[in-house]
Amino acid sequence: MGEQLMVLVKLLWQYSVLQIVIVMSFTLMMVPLLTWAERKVIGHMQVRMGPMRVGFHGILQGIADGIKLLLKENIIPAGADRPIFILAPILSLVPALIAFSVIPFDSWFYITDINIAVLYVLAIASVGTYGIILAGWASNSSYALLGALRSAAQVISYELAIGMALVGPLMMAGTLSLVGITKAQAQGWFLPYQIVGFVVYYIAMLAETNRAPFDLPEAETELVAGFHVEYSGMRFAFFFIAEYANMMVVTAMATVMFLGGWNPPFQGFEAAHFLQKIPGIFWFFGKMFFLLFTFLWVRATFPRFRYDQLMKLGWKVLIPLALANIVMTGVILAIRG
Amino acid sequence: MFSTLFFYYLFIMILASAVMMITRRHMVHAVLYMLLLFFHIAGLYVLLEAEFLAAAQLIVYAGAILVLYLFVIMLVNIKQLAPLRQQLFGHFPFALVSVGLLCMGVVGVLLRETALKAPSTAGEAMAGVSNPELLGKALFTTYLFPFEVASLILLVALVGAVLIASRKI
Repeated sequence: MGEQLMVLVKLLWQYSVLQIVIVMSFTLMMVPLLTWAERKVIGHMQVRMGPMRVGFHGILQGIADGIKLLLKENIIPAGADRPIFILAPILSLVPALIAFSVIPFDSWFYITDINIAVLYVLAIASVGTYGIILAGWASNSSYALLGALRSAAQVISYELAIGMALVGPLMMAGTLSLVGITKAQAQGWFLPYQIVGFVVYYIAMLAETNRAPFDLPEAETELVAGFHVEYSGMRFAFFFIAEYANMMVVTAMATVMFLGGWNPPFQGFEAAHFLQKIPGIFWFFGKMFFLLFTFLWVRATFPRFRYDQLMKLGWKVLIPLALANIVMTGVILAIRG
Repeated sequence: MFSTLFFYYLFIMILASAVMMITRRHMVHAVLYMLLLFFHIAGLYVLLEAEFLAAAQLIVYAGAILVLYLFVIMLVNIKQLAPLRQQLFGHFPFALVSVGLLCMGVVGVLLRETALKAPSTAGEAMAGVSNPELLGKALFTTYLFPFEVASLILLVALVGAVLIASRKI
């Protein structure tokens, strides 16, 4: 019985079924925890307690919210375009989840390793925009449509910056596979060489995930809630999960492309070699969670951008910087041969 | 076996979504069928082991161009376009002739090409070299001139668009 079980597990592992199950359940479990962390961290930064009632220091708050949303009535507005209204949350959640399929959590733990992984993540992320645009349009409400149009313009602008910021590490690694890129950083992270690329990527990823200070598509004070104003119950929860899953995808990408993925820090120093004893998966998630924490930190610190400032920053600052970074990286790589 | 099945699935979906796309009265629905179409065309590229092309197809067409289409459709008042639809049927003979010519051209090329050589996948051309690498090398060595001409044409279009738009503002 035990042997048969082992054979089954090995088979499932071989065909990536087990990895998919682990990654999916981990992602979906992280979402309630992240929402709790967000409220807790921002609460403490504003000298409040944050959620305290459900579980130890409110740790089950996210699960309670999830159950509440699950049991709520799903309302579809009378004037809405029914099929698209139903399709939009799905179109927004599915890309966010399948982007995890190429992310290497450790040298032995990833779902798949393809030779166009970076492009795959970018392509999947660009499809996720449809969920937001269609949700805003199908709701047949001015607030929702305004939020959707803002989001479309914002995502198109910042997608360029994200794509170009990633070109620097790609040139240094010489491969598009995320496993290959992590392996190329075994002797040292790309961060010191790609500091400009990292800054551009970091700002653009805040905008790409519609996070503060770039949360104009859902600016509560002017648009009520933006594109998902007409959504309720489980469909609203889909957008919510998608937003947090997207945050995890972009931070995981930053970890792999700039922060060395599963590689420990200070690889160049003899004294720091004991760090290699710690399994890579801890390093990966440590970096990823630190980046997620900075998301919350930024949200608690900066006020929202004005729309023209947002566009100016994207097109006149980030994209030229990213282009300059590509040229500089190319020149330095050519000199070093 | 699997790839043949996959091919037939793609074949049916591409035709079906293309037909659905041009017959929808609602433009947003048409764009959604176009998105479905682009996804399946990307699937076709994956089947031919041209993964880079598949990713580029999704990023450029599905991710950028179609989003802009949606953007424009949402801003345009569709009711104003009703008179345009009336005029469309006047062009029917011209459309028929040009589609006929195009079909003849495509069939002619297909007949000649298949007679010359057996179909091959991109995978056969490159042993052990990754697809994006090969494509990059080909683009910047053998096909440098056409590549630069294509980018020049895009630049001209961009400048032209800015010129036309700036006159109106």
